[in-house]
Amino acid sequence: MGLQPVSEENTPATSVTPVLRVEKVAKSYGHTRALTACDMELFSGEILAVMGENGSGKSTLVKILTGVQNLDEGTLSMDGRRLRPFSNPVDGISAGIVAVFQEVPIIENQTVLDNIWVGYDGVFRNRLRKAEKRHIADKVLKVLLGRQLDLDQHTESLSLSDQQACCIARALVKKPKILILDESTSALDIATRDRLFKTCSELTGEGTSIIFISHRMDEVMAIADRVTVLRSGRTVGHFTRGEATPEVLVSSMTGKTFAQAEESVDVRTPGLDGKVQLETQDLKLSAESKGINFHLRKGEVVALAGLEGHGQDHFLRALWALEPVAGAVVAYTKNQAQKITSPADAVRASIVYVPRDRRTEGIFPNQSIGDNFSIATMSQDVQFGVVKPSRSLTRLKAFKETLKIKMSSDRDPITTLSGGNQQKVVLARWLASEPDVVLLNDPTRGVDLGAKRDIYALMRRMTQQGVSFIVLSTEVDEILEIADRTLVFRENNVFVELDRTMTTREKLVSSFFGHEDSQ
Amino acid sequence: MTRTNKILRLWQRPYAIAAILTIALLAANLIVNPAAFSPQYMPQTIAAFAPFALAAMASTPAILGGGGGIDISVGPVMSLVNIVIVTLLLPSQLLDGPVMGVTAALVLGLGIGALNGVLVAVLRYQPIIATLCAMLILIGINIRLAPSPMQAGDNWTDAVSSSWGPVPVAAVLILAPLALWSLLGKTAWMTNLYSVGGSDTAAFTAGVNVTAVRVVAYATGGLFAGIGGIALTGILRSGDSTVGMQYTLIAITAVVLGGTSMTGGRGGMGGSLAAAAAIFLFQILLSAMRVPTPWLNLTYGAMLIGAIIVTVRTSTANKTKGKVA
Amino acid sequence: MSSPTNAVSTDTPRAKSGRIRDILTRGKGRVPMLQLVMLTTLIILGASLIPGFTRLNSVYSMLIIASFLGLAALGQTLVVLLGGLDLSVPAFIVLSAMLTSELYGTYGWPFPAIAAFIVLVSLVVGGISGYISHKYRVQPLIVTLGVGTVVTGATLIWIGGKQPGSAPAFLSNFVSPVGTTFGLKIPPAVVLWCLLAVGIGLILRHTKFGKSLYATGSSIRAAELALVPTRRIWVSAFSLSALSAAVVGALLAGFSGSADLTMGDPYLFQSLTAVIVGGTAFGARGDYWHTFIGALLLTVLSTILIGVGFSSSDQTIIYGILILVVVAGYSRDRALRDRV
Repeated sequence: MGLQPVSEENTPATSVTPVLRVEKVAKSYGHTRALTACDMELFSGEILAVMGENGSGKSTLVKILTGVQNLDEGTLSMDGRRLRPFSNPVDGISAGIVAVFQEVPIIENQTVLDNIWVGYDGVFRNRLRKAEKRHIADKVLKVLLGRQLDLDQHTESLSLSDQQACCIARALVKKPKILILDESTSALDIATRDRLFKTCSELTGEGTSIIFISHRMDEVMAIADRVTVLRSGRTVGHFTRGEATPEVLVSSMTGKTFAQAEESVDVRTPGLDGKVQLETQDLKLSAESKGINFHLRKGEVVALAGLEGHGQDHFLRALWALEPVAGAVVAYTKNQAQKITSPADAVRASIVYVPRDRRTEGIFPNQSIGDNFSIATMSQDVQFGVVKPSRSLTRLKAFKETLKIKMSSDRDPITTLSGGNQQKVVLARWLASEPDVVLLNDPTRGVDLGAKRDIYALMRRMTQQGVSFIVLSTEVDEILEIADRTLVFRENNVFVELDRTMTTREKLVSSFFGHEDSQ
Repeated sequence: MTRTNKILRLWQRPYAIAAILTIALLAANLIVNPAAFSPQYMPQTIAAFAPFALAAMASTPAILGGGGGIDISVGPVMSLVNIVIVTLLLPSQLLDGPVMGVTAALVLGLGIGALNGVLVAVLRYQPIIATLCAMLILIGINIRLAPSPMQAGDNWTDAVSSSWGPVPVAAVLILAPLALWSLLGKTAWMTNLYSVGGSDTAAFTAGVNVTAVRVVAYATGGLFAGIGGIALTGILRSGDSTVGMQYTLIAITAVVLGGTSMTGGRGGMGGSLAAAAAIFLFQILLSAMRVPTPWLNLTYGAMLIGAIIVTVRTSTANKTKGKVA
Repeated sequence: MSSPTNAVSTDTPRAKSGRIRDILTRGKGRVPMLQLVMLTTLIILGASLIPGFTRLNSVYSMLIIASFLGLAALGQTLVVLLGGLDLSVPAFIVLSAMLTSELYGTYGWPFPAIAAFIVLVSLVVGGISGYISHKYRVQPLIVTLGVGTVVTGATLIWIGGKQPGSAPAFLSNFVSPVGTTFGLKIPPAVVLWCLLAVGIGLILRHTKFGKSLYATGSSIRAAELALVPTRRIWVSAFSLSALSAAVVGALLAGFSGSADLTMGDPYLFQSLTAVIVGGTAFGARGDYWHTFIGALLLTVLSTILIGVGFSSSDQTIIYGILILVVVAGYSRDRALRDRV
């Protein structure tokens, strides 16, 4: 058991002893300090939101609380008793702390049932009989999804939202004392998310405490009893429900006042009269879909939206010929019609694609920042068969300025950069080829506010020079801020097209769910 | 409809190709070489098959555990057991006999397997590198112990090609690991192994002791290889340090052909066993048709390449089918 | 920043060792420091233990043996950078040695024709390994095991049981310790090796091919989305691996006057050991200059081992341990907890 009293001399600061107390916790990876001084209290039966920008140390805190990582300094105590440090998640779970981690950690080759119960048993010992496991799994899924799932189905055929629900069920069946939800709602459809929130309030009624981590302000406002804010590895504020307004939280997270943080919002003039750069002709995302005839104009930003898995990703990838589809994609960028049948065609037509998953599709982990940047534009640098690094460095420097990439030398490995800066380098890799059309697949996923603003600012500047963007985005706020037009996808069709002037948060979200009134 | 569906689903199983090959080759053998399958010669035939089967089974658990898991030291472990029995145990009056021999085989296999597991799961060596080193060290030890093949003379391992009543002894050698494997299948370990193979980070954060699960996988493989060493001694009737690598080749071919994914988490023991049978039957078919030995080598290699292409093609075809449905 | 004393006492050594590790990490990317230190130590050790170790003749002998190993490990380095292992090296060594001696000695082909034929065969067959591994996303270890077995089988069938002819005499000069290069008293094989080392090193570092190879080895999916022609890179690397093994085969035929079926065997594990001990690792870390040092290191080590009376089986054991020790330093997998 991981829960063992080391000393009992801790006198509670408040009249009620917190279930979990985090004191002066610090953690470094190599020489980057992820957490400097984190303090936090969690009381029985409450939902505590932990907020902070990317790199503020939230994920590290979760890893320490669950035993994934060891802490360097500080103490954790549960119910007033100091905890011996967990050496792995097994210890954390036996102490009653269970987390649902940020990236969907589904095990694709295993069944729904095995996915839900993974980690419950010992190395050899089965702690429950199979029939009981099935019964409980059915019950938990019913609560989360409002319907049954085939427990013997392999999870690879499930939608992303159902996969995420399985991961949440995996935590729930362990009957945690403290449940940690780390960005666990990002893949959920709204209905499932609402059922999760209902489940959360039931759990807190039974005395479970919940740590809720989310980038979405509306979610935090909806369910959190209190909010703790982290900034650069430190706890910078505790707010009760009444105090925590979006303005207060944003200024606490960024260290700036609300007005400053919002300064870059402005209204763009959409380029509706521009010349067509790219069009699709009867593009069908599935056999039953209607053909999509879409035009992208010069200087336009078109957002692709919808619930996860409704065809927007497929559509975007089809534009770069990464997915086989019926119908045609035609580019007019080079003043003549050109069919796109391969990524190479697309690049020749000056259309570039920035992939979604930075870790597996974006970066080259062991290579330098410079090599990561120059890989797509290397041909420009070749002289007598030799690649001249000085030329790509000049290009990189330009982007370092405009995107505010925080780096010291282009020879450092890319992995020394933070996630947001890595994403900026991956973006710059293709923007450096001076494209006419840029396809962005969720470009700001897992990127902090500051970096987002840098990316939006660059996009704005480029559209003024006539560059067009198609952006798949999972964030409503992002769509509202950047899009001239939005295509909402539903069941592999374009459900509705919303003009900037007609786009409101409510219309967007209700169209995700197929409400016709949004037209 | 349901019947065709059922057949279709069977065909999509990863081991389908191996199973069909085995049946076809068995039929071909029965036509060309019926004597080998007569009651009189059956025990010998199974004895000759046993090292193939055990090598293939020994290679499977490490691969199932994912993370690039592989144990290329299986062949040399079998050789080591073979050489230890012939050069150390048989000549000694004190240590001769099946009890000591079997104990030594199991302890050596389990121990080396567990060591490989520790190198991989605890010390985080890449599996290929770790078992490559184990293999180098074992090959060195094997050559030291038996610089040239050493005749064993009559001894207890000769029983491998005989029968206990109606049961061929070699069949017991093959069935014992299978029984242990299905016993492990009753415990949580097997589910854990497939989960770890599917996604080690997911299993780790969910509370699976990934390290222990993987060490047990390598140790189990090692144990099977140890049993394989007994079978090898039974058919070689000598201590020979040159045959080990050949069995690693056969074993990996069998695992691939048997439909186990090299990335872990998919496949199983049955496929490896069926594929080992297919390879074995192919070999005796060729020798019955008096194909010269160099051709055997060539066909092994060709089979391995063919197995890769065929299994990868069918498995990706199935996957895309599954996605559309 | 004030922290309690116990925290400071535990923190300082960690910070210090972190800094040292950092310096080492930066250095080892470019210069194989550890390997150079080991090589120097071994040379000093050899000079003091073995009489005649530093005589020019024995130095040249060692360099020639190292050049065989280094050339065999050339293609292996490229394959390891891509994240694979090439087990077909011995097969191509034997094939090429057989072709060299049999076609020259028995069939009387002119050497340039033989060379062209060997180059063609090894590039094509090696390329097939790369193509299959890439297309079907299978570990190259398995594919090259299969292809190697086919090549060995084919060689055996072609040669049958007979003794192959003898290799051209000038090849013997090429690999002789007393051989001369354009009048200079340096064995041509050594010159060839050094030139290739410089050439390949520069190609890897400063050409589009080299950069694309590193990108592909680092993340094949990202490379494909950056329009790096990954299949072409894989095919080229495996072709070059077969070719470099074939070059070794021809040189070995010259060295021993003819060919035999086992002459390639030692090079399987030695080439792997040279690459890994040199410091090249999966995931595109390292380069051929590392392997160059690795090949020298292994050759000096085995010379010393034989000199003090170890057998070749002992050497195999020591190689195994050596890889474990060197790899322990820098190229193990990341801990599971750091991959979450």
